[in-house]
Amino acid sequence: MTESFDGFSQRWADFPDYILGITSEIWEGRGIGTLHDYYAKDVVMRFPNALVTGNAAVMSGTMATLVEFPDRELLGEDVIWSGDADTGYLSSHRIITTGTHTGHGVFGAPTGKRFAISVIADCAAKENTIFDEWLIRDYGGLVKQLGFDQKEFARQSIEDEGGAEDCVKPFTPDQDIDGGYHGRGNDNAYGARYADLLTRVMAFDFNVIRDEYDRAVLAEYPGATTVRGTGGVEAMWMGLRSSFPDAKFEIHHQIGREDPMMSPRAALRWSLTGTHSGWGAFGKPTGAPVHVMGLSHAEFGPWGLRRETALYDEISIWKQILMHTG
Amino acid sequence: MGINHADFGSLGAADLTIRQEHTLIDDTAIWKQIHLHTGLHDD
Repeated sequence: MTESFDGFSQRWADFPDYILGITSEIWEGRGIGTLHDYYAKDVVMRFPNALVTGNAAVMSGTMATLVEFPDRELLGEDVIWSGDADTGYLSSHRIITTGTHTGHGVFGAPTGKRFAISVIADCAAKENTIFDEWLIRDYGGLVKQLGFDQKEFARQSIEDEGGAEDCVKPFTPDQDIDGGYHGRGNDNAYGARYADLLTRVMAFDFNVIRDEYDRAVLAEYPGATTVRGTGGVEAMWMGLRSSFPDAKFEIHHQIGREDPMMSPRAALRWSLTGTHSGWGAFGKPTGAPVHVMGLSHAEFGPWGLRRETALYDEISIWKQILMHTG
Repeated sequence: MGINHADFGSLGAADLTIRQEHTLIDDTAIWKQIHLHTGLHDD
């Protein structure tokens, strides 16, 4: 137990241990009831596809997912964290989640297909309890791997939920509720470096990718897309930016860390807010108002940014576009 | 013949583990040795 880990049970060696430990207990240990203790009663969770409040909603969502994918595994890849006992600790937790579609649920009858997708969860915690959260699953990758078309899947969910007026609304900033976490991360140089890099990309300064990424970069992107080399990096970021060229880019939270036995790394929570006014990854411009929630992690090496995972939810973007076009 | 690279790391207080690994062998060179021994017939 160190001084920088005030307010948590002696059970946990440090903050990453707490995050990895409770994730395994809740999901793989089936300790859904432990969410009474580990999640605040009035927790605020922002998913790209909806704002969810209260630990009761978290419990029912967890059960529904376990029914649909009973063998689901959560492989914790990294915990990039900041904060203290006063502002709350913030964990940006990157996971590879794998499983088999063998149960009934939002994807209909079981397809028997396997999936492996990335997830990043930003959780704010104090005294053993998570009270504020931002989470992105690569839902577009899951839809693809189960054999569905992303746009058609989004169209079908609008219809199933009662049409564009009544359907569950993807998260937009006007819905936001103050969950109590007001930290902005830390001032480590690698967080600043990654923030500067993405800010330049979003300012259409795409040549920064060739300057700042390692030529042999390995990156995980939405749609369960793995790319190697800067060509694929440029294609992803340009495809996104080009769809929403007028959107305002904001960085909401920024962490950098230089830990022993790890590459220097960074975690960012960001967003794009604007209209679908350009040709890009989402086809013909429609003028739809769109908010893109983004979470990303980067590792740096001697030749630049060498590993990246950047996530946004393609299905929630398609949903916002189709809610507008009908 | 095998050549390997491994990256070790640790999340906080956790034990050091291999986080990334590359292992290379040449499958075709192994099949060639098998065929040289058995003769070039199926199975």
